[in-house]
Amino acid sequence: MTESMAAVLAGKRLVLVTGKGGVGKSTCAAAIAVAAARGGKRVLLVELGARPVAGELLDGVPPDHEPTIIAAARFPSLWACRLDERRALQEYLLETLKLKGLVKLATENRVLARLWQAAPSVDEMSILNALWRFETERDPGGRPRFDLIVVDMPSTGHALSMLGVPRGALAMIRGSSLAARARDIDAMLHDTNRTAICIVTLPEELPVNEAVQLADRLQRELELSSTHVLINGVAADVFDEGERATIERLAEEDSTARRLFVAARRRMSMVSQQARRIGELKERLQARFHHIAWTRARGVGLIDSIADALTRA
Amino acid sequence: MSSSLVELAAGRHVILCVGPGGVGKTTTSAALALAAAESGRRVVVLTIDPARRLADALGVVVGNTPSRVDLGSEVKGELWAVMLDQSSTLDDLIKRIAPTPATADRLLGNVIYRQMSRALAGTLEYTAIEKLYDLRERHGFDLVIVDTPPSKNVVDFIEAPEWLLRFLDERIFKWFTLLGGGDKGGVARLVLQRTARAVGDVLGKVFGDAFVNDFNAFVRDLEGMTAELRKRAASIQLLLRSTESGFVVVTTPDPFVLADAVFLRNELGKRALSFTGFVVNRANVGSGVESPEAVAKLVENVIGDALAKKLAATALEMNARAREDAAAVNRLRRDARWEGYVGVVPREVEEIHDLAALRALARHL
Ligand SMILES: Nc1ncnc2c1ncn2[C@@H]1O[C@H](COP(=O)(O)OP(=O)(O)OP(=O)(O)O)[C@@H](O)[C@H]1O
Ligand SMILES: Nc1ncnc2c1ncn2[C@@H]1O[C@H](COP(=O)(O)OP(=O)(O)OP(=O)(O)O)[C@@H](O)[C@H]1O
Ligand SMILES: [Mg+2]
Ligand SMILES: [Mg+2]
Repeated sequence: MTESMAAVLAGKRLVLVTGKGGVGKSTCAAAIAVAAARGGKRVLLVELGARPVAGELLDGVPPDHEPTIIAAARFPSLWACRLDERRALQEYLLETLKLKGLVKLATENRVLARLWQAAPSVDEMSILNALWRFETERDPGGRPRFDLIVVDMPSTGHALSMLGVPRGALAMIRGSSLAARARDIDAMLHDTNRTAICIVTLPEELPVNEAVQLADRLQRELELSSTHVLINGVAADVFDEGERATIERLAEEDSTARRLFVAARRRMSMVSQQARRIGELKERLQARFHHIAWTRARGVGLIDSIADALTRA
Repeated sequence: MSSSLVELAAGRHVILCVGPGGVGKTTTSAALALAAAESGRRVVVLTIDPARRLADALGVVVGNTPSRVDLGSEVKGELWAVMLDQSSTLDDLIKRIAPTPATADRLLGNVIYRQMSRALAGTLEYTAIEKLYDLRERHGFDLVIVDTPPSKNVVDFIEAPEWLLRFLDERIFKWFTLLGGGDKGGVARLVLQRTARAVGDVLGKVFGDAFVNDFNAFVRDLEGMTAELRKRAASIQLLLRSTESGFVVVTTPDPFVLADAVFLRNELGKRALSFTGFVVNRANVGSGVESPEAVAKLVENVIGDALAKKLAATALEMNARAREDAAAVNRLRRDARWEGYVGVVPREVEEIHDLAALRALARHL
């Protein structure tokens, strides 16, 4: 028996969910977190966007910078947070420089504050540092604070630049006190036992192309493998071959029922178009794939149904 | 709805299609450009990362010179297309405005510049706006239609000129020139210099001395160009705020996407940028048959029961989606308090990558 996608991902420590804009990254990240939390794991769902969505998706309160349980009744072991770049930067500097005064000067001086905003990759590094901290944190008994951390990452281009930051930074900040932490973070990202990158896509031309390119660039530029692909929004194939032929024929014939067959044909074309795209994707990308149905469920119902799907082998 | 988007564009010289990722900004820009050209104008569309077959249909390759799209001899107007070259537009600008070629070379080779021009949020967005300015000012097109890049945050694009102006704030430059300079000047300057040195020490501790040196070189070389860059950013801001320009917010009926679109429209308002209307793309179309009974009646004696049931289910699902989408359009008007233009474009089965499909889509605009 093969393990379900949910089980494979729940075996990691850090799951990074990315893909093209609008394909369902936030939705799938929440579903992966829910699936693992249902199995009793202590899960942290991390959001980075300007507009937080986890509260809405899970029918809970909007998360804050600090991890909190946002929908206690339904998901008692699911924490969520929305990382604030400013606070993440302060924490990052405090952890790596260990001098409060210095950090105060560095973050409160007006010119320096400007510089942080403009300096390359500072935000990304601070965010990655926070993920690293969540991953390494232990309670007094030596048990990890979170069993699994699921991150709703930015879309393709920004995810690529973010994941490349530790290496880019190591080239620029050779010999500084931040270099050691950058190395630790880079090691975590490259440890396939700890970290999984999950690409979400739709069975459409541009999302498929972007998924293939993303996987390729992750591998080539950053030596990161992304072996988990969620194909979201797959329309169910309801008609069998004979029925399809009947519909095709009647859609061409003049009758009062014609518009009905034309509508059904539209739906059929969509399914076959999607099947072609999925075929292309699987041909071009070596990965473990999982299909997620295009449903009309919304809110927590949608998340639950995707979590169910991920739990099925 | 009184006028079409093409008519609304008639009084303008710049139309910017903004919106969340993947909603159809590139497609809408191309369709609108085609329609405007067919209405007789001399139009250029600036596309960003179009699907390959759409690029082929428009005959564009990555590069910075517009190419003309063949619309046949009956069409009075002209359609030109250009595909933004994200890597070279900023470099080209630096080369154009650098005081000496050596400065340009040094800056383009600087580690910080290279990192920044690739990774920094804002750079890509600014590059697109810079290109728009260039098309309008240097190439003299009557109408420039601008597709916008998928951003990390929906407001990144409209914030780009502000962002650049902020970055080029002379205070930052003053500090760093002080940092590199020798001890001369009055007491005030000495005090400033001492603070600058303290800041420099912090940076050295945080980033390492190599970074501080690279950064100093970066600031020194950029300094001679800031005046010109600031001037351009300010003129661009002026152009975007003038009545010549209009923003079209493209969205889909999806509730999350729609919420972003409303947010974006409010942000445009806050920045005094002129808003032309919404395009709600990829709206689901109903089956045209309303109830299971109606379906049963229509197909009675035509097909078997099993297929009739499936057809009814399919038809009703399509209707439900179409109703949800129609409700979403109403909600959009209400949430955005907008009584002006809202174009609704149906979701096509086939992807859109030839002129015929663009023309069909433009009919809904
Ligand atoms: N399988 C599905 N069936 C139906 N609707 C879905 C499905 N997956 C996602 N959606 C809907 O699609 C919309 C976009 O999803 P989501 O916000 O997760 O995308 P995203 O990739 O995170 O977008 P962004 O790039 O803007 O962050 C949401 O409204 C969501 O409810
Ligand atoms: N009305 C429509 N019906 C069907 N397909 C459409 C429609 N509009 C756009 N598409 C298709 O959707 C895909 C995305 O469209 P497009 O590239 O225009 O989006 P975008 O907003 O520019 O995306 P990005 O944010 O990634 O730049 C394309 O494959 C396009 O052909
Ligand atoms: Mg999201
Ligand atoms: Mg686009």
